[in-house]
Amino acid sequence: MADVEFQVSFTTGVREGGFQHFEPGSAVIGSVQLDPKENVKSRAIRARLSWHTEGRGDTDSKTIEERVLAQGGLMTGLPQRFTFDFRLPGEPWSYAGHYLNIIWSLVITLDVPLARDTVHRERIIVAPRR
Amino acid sequence: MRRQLGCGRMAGCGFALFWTAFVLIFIVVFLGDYFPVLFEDGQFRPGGFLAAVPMFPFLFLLLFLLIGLAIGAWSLWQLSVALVVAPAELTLSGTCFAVGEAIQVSYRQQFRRDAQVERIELLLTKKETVRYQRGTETETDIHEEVIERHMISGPQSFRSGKRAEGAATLRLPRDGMHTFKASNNKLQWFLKLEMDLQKWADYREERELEVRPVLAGGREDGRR
Repeated sequence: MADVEFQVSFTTGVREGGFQHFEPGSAVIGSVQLDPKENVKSRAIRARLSWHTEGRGDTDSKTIEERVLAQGGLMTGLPQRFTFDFRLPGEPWSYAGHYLNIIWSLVITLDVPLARDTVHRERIIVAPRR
Repeated sequence: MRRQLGCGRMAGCGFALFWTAFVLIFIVVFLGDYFPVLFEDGQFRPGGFLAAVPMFPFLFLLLFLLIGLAIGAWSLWQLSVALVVAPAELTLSGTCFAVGEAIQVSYRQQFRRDAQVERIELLLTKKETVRYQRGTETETDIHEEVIERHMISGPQSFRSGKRAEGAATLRLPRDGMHTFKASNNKLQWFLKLEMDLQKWADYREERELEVRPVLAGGREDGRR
């Protein structure tokens, strides 16, 4: 896996308890800064908004939207910033239960040819304010 | 969706019937060779018959027969509650609900025989159902939580022809979750009616509630 530091920041939502909170149906807008510690050859840098389940049951998941942020590699010492803009659906909401958890994530992927992709997951909370 | 829990009991009866019939066929085939001994010389000779039959296989088959009869008897007992009470009439204030919404429930149920009721209760429950592979087997685990309960009736006698009735308001928790269904994981809400009877099997009924991903008093997309 490539040695890259990821820093995600959001311009929408509210930061609470270490996670960015979003209302269902709202926009997830922000940017990700990639700071490579080595030269990285990548086919593409992708951002994906998705949810998945965790807990005792087998995993269910769904990708809401995926976008290519950039194509091409990264060079050491040259951080790059890319913006993203997604729209959340109305459901499902984030949930922490007894056997079942529903987790939303913004996933940034470096598509590295002939090697394992470098993946960064930024967990978010999707729930109405109450 | 309404589900009277007698469906499982009828399935139990059907299974017991099939099981018992299947075992009886085996017993008849097994004992067939020994029937001439039972009626030797035109006389009924049970002693000779029992002496001739290999006991261990016979008792083994008898055990299976007893299991089938026990399942059938239990299923019939569970279904017998239909002799005592008619199906419950549950009327809800809607078909779909928002998170945090109050559910108005009215209840009526006719008694077909005199009966002593221990309790009649309405429950609002949340159920998580998860499915997973364990080796080649698929396992299912369920966690059900009672969110709210309302007692319609404590211990009371009902005469044949009389009705039990009542009303309740049960509220979905505002910090709760909407209905969620995926291939391996589900979260569902149910309204349950529980009636405990003396000398008869208990009456149970459940109805699934559709809870939308919207807060009570909010917009469909969850925004205020």
